[in-house]
This record gives sequence, structure tokens and C-alpha cells, in this order.
Amino acid sequence: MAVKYLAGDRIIGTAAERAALTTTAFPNTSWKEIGRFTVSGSATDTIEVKGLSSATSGTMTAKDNIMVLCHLPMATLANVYLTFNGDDAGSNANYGYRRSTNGNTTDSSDNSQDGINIGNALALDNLVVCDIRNGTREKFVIYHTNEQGATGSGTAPDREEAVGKWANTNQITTLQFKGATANCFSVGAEVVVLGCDDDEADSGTNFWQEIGTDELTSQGDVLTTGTIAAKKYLWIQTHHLGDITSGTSANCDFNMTFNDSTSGYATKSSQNGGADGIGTNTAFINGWIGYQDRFNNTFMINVASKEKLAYGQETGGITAYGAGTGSNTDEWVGKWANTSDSITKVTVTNSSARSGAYGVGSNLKVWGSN
Amino acid sequence: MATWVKLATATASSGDSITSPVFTAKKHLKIMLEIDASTDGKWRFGNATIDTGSNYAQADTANGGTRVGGVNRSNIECSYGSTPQFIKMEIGNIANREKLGIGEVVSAATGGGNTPNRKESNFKWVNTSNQINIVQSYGWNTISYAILTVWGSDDVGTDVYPNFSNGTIFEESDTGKIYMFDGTSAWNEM
Repeated sequence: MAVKYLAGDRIIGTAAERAALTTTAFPNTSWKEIGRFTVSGSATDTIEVKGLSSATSGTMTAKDNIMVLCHLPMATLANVYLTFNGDDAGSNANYGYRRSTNGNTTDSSDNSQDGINIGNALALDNLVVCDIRNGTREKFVIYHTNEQGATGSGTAPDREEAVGKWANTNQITTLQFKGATANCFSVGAEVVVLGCDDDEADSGTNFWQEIGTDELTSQGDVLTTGTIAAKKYLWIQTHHLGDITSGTSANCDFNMTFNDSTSGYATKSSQNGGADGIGTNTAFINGWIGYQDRFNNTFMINVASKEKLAYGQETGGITAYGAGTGSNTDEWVGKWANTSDSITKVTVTNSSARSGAYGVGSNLKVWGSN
Repeated sequence: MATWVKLATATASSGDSITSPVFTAKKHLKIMLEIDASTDGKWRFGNATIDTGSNYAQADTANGGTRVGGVNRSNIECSYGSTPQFIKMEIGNIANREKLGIGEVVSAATGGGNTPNRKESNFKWVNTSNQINIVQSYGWNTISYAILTVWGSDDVGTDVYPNFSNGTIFEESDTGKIYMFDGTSAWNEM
């Protein structure tokens, strides 16, 4: 029944409706959308973000911290370069970068460049996520790329972990992705720029909103969001916890699936900086078998008609608790080759083959936005 | 619904350390530091006070090179050299669990002619009693510029109460109970 408001300051409703009169608010003091450009009409080789709603003039609001989410479906193979504030002339030489592809132990690097090489020979579909410090010093960029490479789950995507710099002390207010091949960015390619000042005011709406969560109150093998709203950009974090009361940790899987689908996945990952392991035509993403506790940080692009691309970093996997035992690390990219549905459910599962289970407090959190 | 919120900011332009104010602990933390100093630096965490004990372990790799680690440490090395740098961390921050973190660094001397360096780090603070609510980066001798910002997320927000006058009566149709609002935040059963 609906709450009834009566004369004399009297209200009639259920206990649940009374409880619902008190709500929970969160301050809007983090990343907000300050720029977006979506390629429409025909393919192009330049995406320049000058403000919201594919603005073609003006500038973005300068923010101290920038997060850039790039979904780059390519019409043709191309190298892609990132520049700022129109500093893209062929002789400016204000950029440098260092990149590792698929965990190659020899970085590709250069300086005195006219842009930051964000991806070499990008083809098909790509996810790029950048964190940029945008104060009054030279600009630093930390970025990760998932390069689809080939369609289908028979091929794992490629991964890049990289850094860059722009030798300029002006704050970034426009941002450009330039392809080295004509009309390389397909219709639908999109760059979203989020900004957050160090003293970000509580106003507007934060970009990242929680859309799904789960936390175990007893030991189990499954963390799942249940059905969630379909959002184009996903940020996922998980904690897989062991049985701390025993003082030891146990072997567990990290098997991430979407929409309860058990096919169509591929993963490429490096554990502790070792050679990449590749899994294709698998029933889940990643599948790193390791000890608990573990913490995972993942970003994804989630467009129904495109393969879902993810990159993630994980740490933990310890054989014993305490400062005398170091943690392991895993860097990975993965995909779900479904091209007909958006992700509306995220599940992480431990298989019955493992000796351990996810402990109390293990949790899964998904933030999303379009 | 929960979202990410800014928890703390600190600045420094001298000395060898930068410490956040004590902030509201969240299960998910994101930390960023931009710093220019004469040496590299280290990190420590704490709850109310910084833990200087040998309660840290870490491993890192620089420019894709060999991964090196250390245990029973009194700090975390998540920095690169003496050039200006930008450091970011993601940390799982559950009170009764060891705190696990992932760090990344980009560092370069000024000017377009200097190639940036990078470092990837993973680490833990083995405290299993408290959440991190204070962060310190130290050992930078000497800082000329630094700004440290912490964001976090969990399900704990701020309660927003209904704007009812003192004495408003709520009759629960399913329980038969009757409550009176105190005009600010509480429903008291009558």
C-alpha cells in the first residue's frame, strides 16, 4: 500500500514504508563527466573532446584529476596518439611514453614525441582507461589498454600497461585522440572524460554510481550482483577472503562470468610479471587459481553489440598471513565475446575443485555509468 | 546508492613527508600523490596514527624489469627515483583483513626530452584490527611540491531524515505499532 498522509500530522503505512522515509545520501565529491565525444555520421581519424555532448568548440572545465574512458572501435588499423590542448604540431616534441605490450620485459619507450602512443596498431575494438594528474606541473598519464585483436573467444585480447607525460604546465582543457590512418575510428567510438578537483565541491552527480553489490555473511563459493542495470562503463572490485580464524589461506578460483553465461570468454594474464598465460574459449574470465586473500580492480566496456572488454589488476594470493609473506600480483585482460547482450549480472565463482571457499566478508562491488 | 567520495587532501612544499588528515574509512580506497622531491619516498598506513612497525610486505617491478620484493618491512616502496612523479593506489580496506593494494608510478624529469619511467607495485599492510584512515608518504628528502588525495567508497552514507514536524504520528498498518517523530531523526514508539 502507499503511504497515506492524513490531517493532524498523521501518517499510515507499513513498517517498511516508515523505514524508507529515511534515505541515505552520498556526497558528490568525486569524478564527474566533463567531456564526451562520440563519433557519429561517418568514421573519422580525430576525436577531440572539448566539452560535453560531442561539443565541437569550447573547452572542458579544468580539473586537478582526470579519468579518461575510451571505447575505440576501429574502422581500419591505426596507431593512436593522445595529445592535449591542441599541442599536436609535428615539431612540438612535448610528449613521452613508456609501454609494455603483453608483459614484454622490454618496454617500448620514446621522448620528444608529438603525442602519447596510446596503442600500436589498434584494430577492431579497444578499451583504454587513463588516470591523469592535471595540476599545474607537467602532466603524467597512467593508462591501460585492452586490444580486442580478433573477434571471438578463440583469441585472447592483447594488453598494454603504460605511462606517458606531456611537458606542459597548463591544465588540460581539451583532449585529442588522433589516428595515424585516415578515418580509422568507427561510428560509435567514444571518449568520456571525468574530472575531479582535489577540493571537489559537493554538487552535481558523481559519474560512478553503485549498480550492484554482494557480501558474504557466511562462507560460500559465489559472489553475484544479481540483475543490475546495464551500463556502458563498469568499474568492478572484489575481495576474496580466506578463513582468517585458521591462520591459513586456501586455494580458490576467481572465475568471473556475466549474465550466467558459461561460454565465450578469453583471458590473457601475467602472474608476478611472468610470461603471459592465455586462455581461450573458456567458461569464465581470468580463472587465476591462487591463495586468498585477494583484491581485484577491473574496468570494462559494456556495449550490447560489441564484445565486452576488460582489464584488471589483482593482488594477494598469499600462502600465509603476516608481513613475513609477500603478496602476488596478476595483471590481465579479458573479454566476453557476446555481441547481443549488455552485461546485466556479474558473478564471481570458486569451483568445487578447490579446497577453499570465499570467507565471510568477501565482497563484490560494481559501479557503472553510461 | 553508494558512489566514490573524496575523503582527504593534503599538501606539502617542504620537509620530507606528507600525511593525510584522518579520514572516514571506506572499504575501497583510491589514493593519488603528485610529488616533486630530491629523492624517492616510501609509504605507510595507519588507523588514527601511522604504523611504523614492520608490518608491511611488497613487491614491485620497474619499467617491466625483474620483480623484486621484501617482507617484514616498515614501509612500502611505491615511488620511482628523484624526478617529479605521479603515484596512484587502489586498496582493499576491510578492518579484520590484511590490507591489499596495487600501486602504479609514472616519473620523469621535466621537459619533453625525458622518457617517463614506470613502476608497478603490489603490497600489503598486515593489520587485521582496523581500517586504514590515515596515509603517509615519507622519506622524500626534500619535498618541493606535493599533493595527496584520497577517495573511497562503501555502502555507508549519510542518513537523510524526513522533514516532518515534531509530534508527527506514524501508524504502521502491518504491525499495529504507532510511532512519534522527534522533529529531527528519531521515530519513538508510543
